[in-house]
Amino acid sequence: MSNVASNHFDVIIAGAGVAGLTSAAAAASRGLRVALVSSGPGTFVFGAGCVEIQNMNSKTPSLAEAIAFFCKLTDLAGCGFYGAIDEHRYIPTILGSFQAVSLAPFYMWNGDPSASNEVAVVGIKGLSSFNSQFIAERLATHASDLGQSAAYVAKEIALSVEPGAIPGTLRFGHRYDREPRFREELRNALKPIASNVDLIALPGILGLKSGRKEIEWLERELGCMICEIPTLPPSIPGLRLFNRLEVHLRKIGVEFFLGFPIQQLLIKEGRCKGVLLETPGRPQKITSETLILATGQFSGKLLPTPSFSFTTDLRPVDSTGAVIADNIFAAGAILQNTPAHAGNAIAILTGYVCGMAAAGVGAQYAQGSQG
Amino acid sequence: MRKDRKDEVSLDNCLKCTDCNTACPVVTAHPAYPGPKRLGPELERMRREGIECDTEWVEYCLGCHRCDLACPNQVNVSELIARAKAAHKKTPVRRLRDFWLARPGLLGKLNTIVPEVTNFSLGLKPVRKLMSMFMKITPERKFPAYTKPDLRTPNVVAMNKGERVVFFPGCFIQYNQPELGRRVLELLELNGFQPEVASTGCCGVPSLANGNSEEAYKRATANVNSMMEAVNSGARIVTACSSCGHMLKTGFAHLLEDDPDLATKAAKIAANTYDLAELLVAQQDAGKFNTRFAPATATLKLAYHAPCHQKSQGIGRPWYHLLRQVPGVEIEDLNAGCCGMSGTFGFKEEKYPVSMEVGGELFAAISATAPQAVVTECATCQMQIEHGTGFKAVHPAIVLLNAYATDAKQYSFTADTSGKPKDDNMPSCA
Amino acid sequence: MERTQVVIIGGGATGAGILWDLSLRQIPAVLLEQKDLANGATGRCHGLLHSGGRYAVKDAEAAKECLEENKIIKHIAPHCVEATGGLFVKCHQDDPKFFDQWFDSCKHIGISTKRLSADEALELEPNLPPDIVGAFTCPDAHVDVFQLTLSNIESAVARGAKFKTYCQVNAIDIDHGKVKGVRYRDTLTGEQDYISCDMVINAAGGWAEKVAQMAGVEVPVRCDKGTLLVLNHRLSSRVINRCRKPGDADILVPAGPVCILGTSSITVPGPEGLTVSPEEIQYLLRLGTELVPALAEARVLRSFSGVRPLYAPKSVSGAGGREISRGFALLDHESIENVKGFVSIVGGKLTTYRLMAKAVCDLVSKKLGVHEPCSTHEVLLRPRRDKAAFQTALLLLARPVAEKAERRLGANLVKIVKAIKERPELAEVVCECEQVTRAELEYVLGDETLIPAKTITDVGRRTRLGFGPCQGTFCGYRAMLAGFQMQRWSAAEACAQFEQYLDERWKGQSWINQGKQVEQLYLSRDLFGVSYNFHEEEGR
Ligand SMILES: Cc1cc2nc3c(=O)[nH]c(=O)nc-3n(C[C@H](O)[C@H](O)[C@H](O)COP(=O)(O)OP(=O)(O)OC[C@H]3O[C@@H](n4cnc5c(N)ncnc54)[C@H](O)[C@@H]3O)c2cc1C
Ligand SMILES: Cc1cc2nc3c(=O)[nH]c(=O)nc-3n(C[C@H](O)[C@H](O)[C@H](O)COP(=O)(O)OP(=O)(O)OC[C@H]3O[C@@H](n4cnc5c(N)ncnc54)[C@H](O)[C@@H]3O)c2cc1C
Ligand code: SF4
Ligand code: SF4
Repeated sequence: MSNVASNHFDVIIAGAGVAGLTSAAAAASRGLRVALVSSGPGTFVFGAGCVEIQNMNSKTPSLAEAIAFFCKLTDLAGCGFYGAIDEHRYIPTILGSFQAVSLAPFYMWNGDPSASNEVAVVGIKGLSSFNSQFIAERLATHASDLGQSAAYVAKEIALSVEPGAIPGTLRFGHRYDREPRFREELRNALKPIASNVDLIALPGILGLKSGRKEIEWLERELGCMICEIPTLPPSIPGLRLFNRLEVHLRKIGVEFFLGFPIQQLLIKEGRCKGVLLETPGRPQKITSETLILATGQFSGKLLPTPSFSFTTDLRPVDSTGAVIADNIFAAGAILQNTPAHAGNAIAILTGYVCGMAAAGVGAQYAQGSQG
Repeated sequence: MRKDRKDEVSLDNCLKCTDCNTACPVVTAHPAYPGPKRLGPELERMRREGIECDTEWVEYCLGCHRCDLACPNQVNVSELIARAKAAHKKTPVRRLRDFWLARPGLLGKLNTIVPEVTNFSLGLKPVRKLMSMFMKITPERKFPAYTKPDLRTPNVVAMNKGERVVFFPGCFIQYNQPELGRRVLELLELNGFQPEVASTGCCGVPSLANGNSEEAYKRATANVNSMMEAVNSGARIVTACSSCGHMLKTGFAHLLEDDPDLATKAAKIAANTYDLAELLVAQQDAGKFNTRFAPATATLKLAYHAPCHQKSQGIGRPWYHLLRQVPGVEIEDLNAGCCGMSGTFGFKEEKYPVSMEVGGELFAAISATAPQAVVTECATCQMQIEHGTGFKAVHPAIVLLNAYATDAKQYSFTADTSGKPKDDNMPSCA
Repeated sequence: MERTQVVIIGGGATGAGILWDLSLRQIPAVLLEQKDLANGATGRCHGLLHSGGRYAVKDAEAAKECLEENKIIKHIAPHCVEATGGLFVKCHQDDPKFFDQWFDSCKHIGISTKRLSADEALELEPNLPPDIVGAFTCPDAHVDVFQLTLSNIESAVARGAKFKTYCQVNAIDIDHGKVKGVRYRDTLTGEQDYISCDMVINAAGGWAEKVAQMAGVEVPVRCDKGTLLVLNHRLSSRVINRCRKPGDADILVPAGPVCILGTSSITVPGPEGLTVSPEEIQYLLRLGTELVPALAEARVLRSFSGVRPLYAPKSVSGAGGREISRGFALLDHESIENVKGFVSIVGGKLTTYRLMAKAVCDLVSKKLGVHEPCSTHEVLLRPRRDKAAFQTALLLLARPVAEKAERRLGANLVKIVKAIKERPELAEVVCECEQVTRAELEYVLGDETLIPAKTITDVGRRTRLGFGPCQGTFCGYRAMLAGFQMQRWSAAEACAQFEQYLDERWKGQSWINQGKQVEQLYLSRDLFGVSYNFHEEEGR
């Protein structure tokens, strides 16, 4: 990286969702100077980033590469994803249903009913929006629907509550990060349960910042597998994914402008020169050679034309089929034709393809072309 | 008072995602703090219903804007809280204390008439105990030292003929660190500017933070009027304090929005205000940044802490990138959250533990890095860091200035605020 | 076999008012409602406690009724009424002659009103358009329709009356021209049952025609659909009316934390299967913006529509919706068609529900030979507030939470306070948008309350849970768990409940095609449809 202070970058990535973060990593891995601008974090607060691959397979261009890249990326960030394109696992949800996934972070991967015989769903006293009885009952039904014989029992543990606090996943998550004593308390409370089961499914509370080390510690201490179930927002496992990825990306040199929406794309004569951010006082101008738009489902209005679609190399085109700007690429949910079920898979694939394209590495996205 | 249409809309933007809560340092530090989502958009609906929603908790908000940055839907969360704070009913003792804390300018003026006496008495343990008893100011802290304000526009003869800029020192530099102010002027000159010092007082941030919007309104009006001439003549305004900078860029416009004339002026000031480092980066992008640094003789290991009001300006990390160019400097961006001081917040007795708890993550990160000095452009962050870690904390401008091969006397600066400034070794690798 | 003297069909305000009135006259009665209380027009109306101003020019009689009832309801049910006051705003586009006419009519009828200059009006309501001519004040108010209906029923039940929810009457048993009883079906379990009685009162609102057919008589009802938009927060603190001949989208009513804009007026075939088109929403918003410009940017949470059951005998059936009298009709089918023991009440307004109930009950009493006069105009619907309980609640709950709970629960606040003292975790706010505690949630789902909630939607009617911006996405889940935990539902039932509930919540948002609520809706669908693999068909 060159040692200058400059607001000119090789590539600007707009959006900090799965698509934006993946393309930032891809571009940075090719040595580009990357700015990541975003009005906020992506949809991590709602889920855990689990990936289901639908209507695509190992023959889908670039998919295998993108998935491998993402697994490596998350692994480096300390929240590694397991799985593969053709894999199908089922992980439990707070509704006691199973979500089908192809990839999931290591702290959820073991939730598949085929992986264990005896499962304890563990609730925490006072954490009222996680009812282990309800979840265990529903999971048992759904597991047998899936032809699995795993047995589910409901347990409840009591953890100390600070004065004035109403137990919530965010509070527990912070405490897991900050208080070694809390981690020990949790371990001690789970220990008696762990000796009778091979999996403990508990609400997502194992830290907003923790990585493999902090979570595997608990697994080791307990001597059984752990699977977090993301709760209603805030979903701690999702936030963890975001936080870890952010820290990792900063480390590899990505410059973050978090918290400021893009006000305008600076498009002139078929090229995008950069963006104006809605910042205090006056718009902050950031320029670049390439722009990757990964601003999510509701951000189409950023582009100058009301209706648009995309070329196979993911450049937005207007209704006449003309490319809006030859250095703008789009990734993730802004592509709109993606079913939400496969949202993250598409975000990873297109994010990766765009990041590579910015670095001049040709990769094609054939699946979602609308044009 | 519901005149701010922008906020009318911003309240409606809330999707209840709780991203703001997850970013709030006070939520992390205080188990019972209701959090920005509740104190902001959620209660605002009730306030507008006419329900009494006043709560002591609004006083715990640091005004750090982290919730605003985290919110993907552009809800002006902290602004909603700030208004509730302004309407909050205080107990009499708090009112007295917050009266003084809201007016550092006035306090500064009084104290600097005879700085020696003030510094002496502020340093005395019994005095601080009394302040704790009567004003609810924590005895744990030292007060910043006051010096005679003698920050003036540099002598015209000595100046090069560069672009005119107006340096807005703000009260801390004015009354507590005038030496830093002089170094900023020097740095500006070295980079081709012709700086002058704005004849203004406090920016008004402390008043707002202490729930005194009337006082803040007065400050804003005075400041806007006094800087208009320069801005109209095309000069840019420079701040070296991130809180002042943030205030000039957003706060004035908010405060003065009901008066169309003042509002236009405020917007113009805002559009022309630059953080010192932001200005230098622009200078570098224009190929005019002075990089005639003295060669390194040793390495200087620094840790950079970005103040919240710096982050919320959306200008990236200019100091970090500028200092990385200094020969011999190794700098790490700590990115470890809020320091917890939030201007005058940490001085309040009941807030002190929260303040220290918030800073915990930053303190730990600093200790883990073990730098020769921490650089951060906010004076109260500096105080908090020194108080919380014992590491020296200085303004990055000092490091940059020292890097130049000028015959200017190497500036010695100590952030030790216990008494009169003393010479001690100073971060420089030249 | 169950037996009573009077069966009332329809748990809207009118039916509830009748049950209360009869209970005060000590006439045993059972009220049957096919869903939950206020399922019909009552729960889908504007909640404007008319001062009469709206009818002053055209229908002095109706205006007088409203004025009178406005005062009475403020007196007997202060906990349901927010005496916001109202403005009739003189817009520069409108006919100035009407302004004077309006003012004179009000004076004549006795509706207290004051002239305000444009500046004075804007001072009170900054969101009015700056170019208004001026405004008049009036004693309009907002009435919480759910609480009003609930209070009538609870008070009646406390006096021995009976109320059955989810009981749909499907036949009226008539023998030799005389009512013997009604047959009904429990719509949750599917079970059939029968109550024998001497009289049946048809208070089925928009369904009155259908119910009358069960007795073989004709009650011509014209169903006039009105659509309302709920805005995320209050844009005015008073009821805002447009001072002109009543038309569409000319009333904005502040209602709790939200405000409601309405309405339209479209004749529809019946009270069910109502839909709203995006055009209708645009139309309402466009008109509304003339009255309150901020509506253009404000967030619409939801739309809903109800039907005004307008009594439309053949002679006037050609007239448009607003032309038919909003007055009510009391039909004694004994004297008209010779069906003994069957009475229908149709038309009217929410504001005049008590008057309607009185008219019915006077007739019914006479027929049953009871001489007790009506006293609903003076007996309070609920004991005065329990100050001590409120003070204790303030120690346990944040002020807005306590205040809202007190408004909804009145004297029953004590029960919640007690529960929280025993189990402090019940202080948790489960519905953040409407400040509902877990204690209150458990209370309305439990057996301690006289009319327990049977579905999550029922919980909403009693507590406003799910009525805020998230539209039940987060609190609905918590309500489901509470029902499970309290063994109201098994795990599977709870899931089914939640699925139904979300469906209903999504439907109310699905017509809105602009602004943040679209994102909120997608979020809800993505969250449950995708992440939780739930309700898959609906999850896009
Ligand atoms: C509740 C929910 C649950 C879901 N569950 C699943 C699931 O289980 N599995 C699955 O595969 N998919 C799921 N999806 C879909 C999936 O999350 C998305 O399709 C995918 O993550 C999209 O990623 P993205 O990066 O394109 O967009 P997003 O994650 O939406 O990120 C968009 C980013 O752009 C930023 N942004 C927006 N506008 C601007 C602007 N003007 N300027 C600057 N920045 C801007 C936003 O702040 C955000 O950071 C779910 C979606 C939701 C909402
Ligand atoms: C859009 C709109 C706005 C309005 N705004 C106002 C206003 O602001 N102020 C005002 O005063 N009035 C207003 N009204 C009028 C007011 O809502 C109605 O006049 C009043 O609520 C009618 O109450 P009700 O009890 O007679 O009928 P409903 O509330 O319709 O009650 C009839 C009940 O009967 C039940 N039922 C039907 N068939 C059966 C059966 N077979 N077995 C058992 N139960 C059955 C239904 O489920 C329903 O709950 C408005 C009306 C509409 C449509
Ligand atoms: S401004 Fe800072 S302290 Fe205040 S609520 Fe927002 S994040 Fe929390
Ligand atoms: S981050 Fe914004 S949208 Fe989300 S809860 Fe907070 S204020 Fe609401």
